[in-house]
Amino acid sequence: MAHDMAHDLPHDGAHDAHYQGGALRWIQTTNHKDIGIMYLIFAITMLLVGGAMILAVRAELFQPGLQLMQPELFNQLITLHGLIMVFGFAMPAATGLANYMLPLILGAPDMALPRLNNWGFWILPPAAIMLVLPFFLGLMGIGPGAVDTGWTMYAPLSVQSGWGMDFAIFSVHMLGVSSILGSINVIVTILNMRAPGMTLFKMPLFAHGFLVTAILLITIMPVLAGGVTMVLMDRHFDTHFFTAAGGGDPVLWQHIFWFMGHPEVYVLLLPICGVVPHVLSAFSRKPVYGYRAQVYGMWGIGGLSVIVWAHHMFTSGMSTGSQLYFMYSTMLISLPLAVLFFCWIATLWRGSMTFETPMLFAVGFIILFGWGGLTGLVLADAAADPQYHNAYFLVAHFHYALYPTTVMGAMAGVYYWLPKWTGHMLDERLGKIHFWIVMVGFNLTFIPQFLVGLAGMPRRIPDYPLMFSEWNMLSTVGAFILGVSHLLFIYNVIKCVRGGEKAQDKAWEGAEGLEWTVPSPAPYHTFETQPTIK
Amino acid sequence: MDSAISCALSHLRDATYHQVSGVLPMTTHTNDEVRPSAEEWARRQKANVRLGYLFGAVAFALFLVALWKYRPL
Repeated sequence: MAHDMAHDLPHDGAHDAHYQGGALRWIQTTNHKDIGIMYLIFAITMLLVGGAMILAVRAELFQPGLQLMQPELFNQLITLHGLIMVFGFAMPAATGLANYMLPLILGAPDMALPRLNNWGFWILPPAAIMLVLPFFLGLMGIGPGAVDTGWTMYAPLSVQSGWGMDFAIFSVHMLGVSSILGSINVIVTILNMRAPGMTLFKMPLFAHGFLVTAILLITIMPVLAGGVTMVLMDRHFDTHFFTAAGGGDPVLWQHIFWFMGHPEVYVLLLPICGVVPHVLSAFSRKPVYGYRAQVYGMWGIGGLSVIVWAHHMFTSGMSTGSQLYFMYSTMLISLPLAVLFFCWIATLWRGSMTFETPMLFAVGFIILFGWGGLTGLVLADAAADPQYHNAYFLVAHFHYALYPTTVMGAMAGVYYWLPKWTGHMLDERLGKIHFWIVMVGFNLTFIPQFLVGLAGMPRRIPDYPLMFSEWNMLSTVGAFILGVSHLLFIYNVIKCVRGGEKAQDKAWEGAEGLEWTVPSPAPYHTFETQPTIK
Repeated sequence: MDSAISCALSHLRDATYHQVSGVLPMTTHTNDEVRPSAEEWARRQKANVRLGYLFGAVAFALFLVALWKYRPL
């Protein structure tokens, strides 16, 4: 076996890549760069699909009353939007970044388990098709349509819903398996494939962010898999995990879901906490500030994230003691997070800053995610939460937490490493235009949602009172601006792939790290001979 | 008060230039490529597979525990 594996190792990077041509290359590949690219293309495709769905929702919400769709279709769209964005876009995008960059950053020739890597990716497309297929069948009049429970899939609705729910359950299983396989690969690569001399505390923060994320995923995804298996059994095998009539408890589902769901927020955040210091450091032309503090901060966030889940359930009924525990433990997370914020800002402090596109996105991430964090503190207050719970304030809050991380943070990383991937510098002018359209579109979409939420507009409702109409119009206009900005991003990436100013090995003046020691674009195989870390 | 703030800012400025931890994680890596290492990567591959199975087993065990803990009475 070991002999076979030795043969699996990539050969000299200077030689031909010797992969199959055409589609077979992509189906059979075990190369981390190929797989990383496929993850990223898959993620951006799902971003467009999930984005188109929510634009339809925003179009419906442009005015009060029902204009474009019935509530059943509205429910399917918001549910699919949530599931697609979390499991289809955000997690694969992070895995794509990890796949492409981890070996380059660690000085390894490839991910530790290349075949598992290939398998992990190719589970994704069928899972995504399974998730959305009932939706399109429903549009054609076949079946009841897609899962329509909201992405939280709360019981007993999920037990009673149509067979789109069964498709969603199997899809979540497959997406979860893919995610676990990717996480195993990330952990093993980081623990066992680092170049000699690269101790854990010399390892770049990018790798620390992904290590904490992968460990979190291995902890939480099996629990979600167990939960959806229980729903499946309740639906078809007459068990009563979540049906009160049979002695079950619907609130049990909420506990199981949020045991996964809350750490999931940090699963989406922590990779970006690893990416952003690289960008800030490069464009401030300074080393990262507080390296160890950031490492401990990320581990602190990861550890605390699994013990705070029930703050999502303050209104479902729990003892005062439990409410106090979950309130204080949730607020405690702001401490390691504040350490990260402090270190990011201190990295900028008195640096020779320039604001190229990656830096703009990194700084934009810090500012907007800061708003998401602060409004999270408001929601964590058990006494105040009933006012905001299930209102648009919450929707605005978690979009301020998730969009800046999963989209803007990821785009900071993509723009930063794009010259290394393509061998060309990106179109800075287009990149800056993209950034400012994102800032205008995003804030125009979600600031109004804070306001209508505070005034009491509930989420997941296709109609609303006349008093909310102006803010909703603005929010819809913002959403379409934001949607268009992503097309600009895709155009800029394609333009960069096809040509442009030649990128040097070290594409950015202030960039440091092993990845900048290899040519741009990075050869198909890199680091077959180990770099040494001093 | 002003001098305290000034002192704190001064310390912060110095710290950012001189990295209190003594580790410069993004500036100390070099790529000398001095050692042929196919054997080294092959040796590590055995440990990779063992670690992969270990974490896979942990994930599967957590799945079973989640089901078992809430099994119908």
